[in-house]
Amino acid sequence: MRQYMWDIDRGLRRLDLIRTQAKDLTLKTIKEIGKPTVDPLPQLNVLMESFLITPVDMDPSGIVSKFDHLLDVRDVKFKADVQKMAPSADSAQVNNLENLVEASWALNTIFRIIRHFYLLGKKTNSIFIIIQLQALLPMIMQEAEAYLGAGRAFAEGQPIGDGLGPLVASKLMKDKAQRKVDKDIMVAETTMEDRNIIALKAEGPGGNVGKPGDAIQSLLQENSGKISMIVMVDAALKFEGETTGEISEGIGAAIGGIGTERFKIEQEASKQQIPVYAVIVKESILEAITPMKKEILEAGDKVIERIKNLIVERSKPGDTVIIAGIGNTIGIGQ
Amino acid sequence: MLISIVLIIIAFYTLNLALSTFSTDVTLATLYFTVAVLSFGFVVLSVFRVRRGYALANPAPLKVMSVVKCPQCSFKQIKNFAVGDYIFKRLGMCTQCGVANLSITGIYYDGPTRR
Repeated sequence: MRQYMWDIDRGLRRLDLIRTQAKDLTLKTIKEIGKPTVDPLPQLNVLMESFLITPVDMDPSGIVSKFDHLLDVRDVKFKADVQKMAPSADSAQVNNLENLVEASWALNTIFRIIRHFYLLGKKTNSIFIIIQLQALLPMIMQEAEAYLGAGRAFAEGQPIGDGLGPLVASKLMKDKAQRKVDKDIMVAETTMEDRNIIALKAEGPGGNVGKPGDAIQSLLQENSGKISMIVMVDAALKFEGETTGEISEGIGAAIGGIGTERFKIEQEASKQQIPVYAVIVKESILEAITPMKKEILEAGDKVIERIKNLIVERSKPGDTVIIAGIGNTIGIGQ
Repeated sequence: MLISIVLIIIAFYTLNLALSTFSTDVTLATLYFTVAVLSFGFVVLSVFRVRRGYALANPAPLKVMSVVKCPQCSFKQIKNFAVGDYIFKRLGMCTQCGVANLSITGIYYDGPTRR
C-alpha cells in the first residue's frame, strides 16, 4: 500500500511539473503572439477551470443536437476568450492558441482528477482506490506527456500526427478552386481515375478540426442522388506492437470526437443509401498529438494510392465521390 | 524520505557493528554487513526511481524539419522548421529554375523512435 502511495505521489509531482510547464508555455506564447496590454494570467486561470455540463440523457431522443449546440457555444466562447487574451493574433494564430490552451486545460484537469482520487484514497484509507490509481498511472502519465508535446507543437504551429487526413485532402485540393462551406471546412473539386472528386478538409494552417459532419451533410443534400460513395481518411490509434504509418481500410465514418459529427454523416449517408468507406493510418496517442513523424508524412501518398484502388473497385467512371480528410489541420494549408 | 534517512542510519550503524565484530565473530559480522548492504541498496534504488520520475517530465525539444521543393525542377531542400512554416506554404522564386513555384511540401519530426 505504502509503495503504491509513493508511486502515485511521484506521479502526481510529475503531473504538477508537466501542467506547470504547459501553462508557462501557454502564457509565454500568448504574450509573444497576442501582445496583450493587460496580464492574461487571470483570464487564463479562469479558462483552465472551465467546464461543460453535458445534456441530460434520461430521455436520449434529440441528445445529439443538444450536444452539438453546447459544443458550438463552448467553441465560440473559448475562441472569443483566447482572442481577448491575444488581441494581436490573426485567425490562424488564434486557432493555434486555442489548441494550446485546450492542451493546458486537459493537463490541469488530469492533475486535478488524479489528486482528487489520491487524496480520497489516503483520507479513506481505501486500498482499492489506491490500487486502481496506481494501475492506471503509467497510461495517464503517457497521455500527459503527449499533451505536453502537443502544447509545444501548437505553440509553434507544427503539423501533428492527427493531421494525416487533412494532409491527404490538401494534396488532392492543391491548386484547385476552393470554397468555404460549413464551419471552417474547405472544399475543392478535382478528378481521379475518371471520377469526380469532392475533397474537403478543415481550413488551415491554423489548428482546426472544423465540422466535417455538417459539411458532408450539406454536400450530400446539395448533390442529392449524385454521390456514389464517401471515403473518409483519418489517423487512428494503433495497438501496441503495430507499426506507425500502417494503412488499414474499413467501413464506416472514420471520425473521432464525442460522436455528433459521426452521427450526422451516418444519418445522411443511410438516408441516401451511400456507402461510407474509411482509410486509416495507425499511430499511437503520443504520435497523434505531437509533431508529425516522417512515417506518417510518407503514408500520405500511399493513402492516395489506396483511395484510387478503392474508388476504381467500388465506383464507375463519371461517378462523384466525396473524400474527407479528418483531423486537426494545424500547420497544413490547402 | 523519512524511511530513507532511517535506513541510512541503520546501514551506517550495522556497518560499524560489522567492522567491530569482524575480528571476533565472522558470522555475526557477515549478518550485519548484509543488513547494511540491503539498507543502502534500498535507499539507492529509491533515489534512482525518483530521479527517473523527474527526468521524464522535461524532454528535449523535438527536431522538426521542413521539406522545400520546386515542382518544376529537381530542387529539394530540407531545413529546420521555422515558426510560420506550414505545408503548402508558397515561398516564391526557385533559386535553381527561377519559376515562382517553390513551396513547403512536408514538415516532419526527425528523431529517435518514441514510445
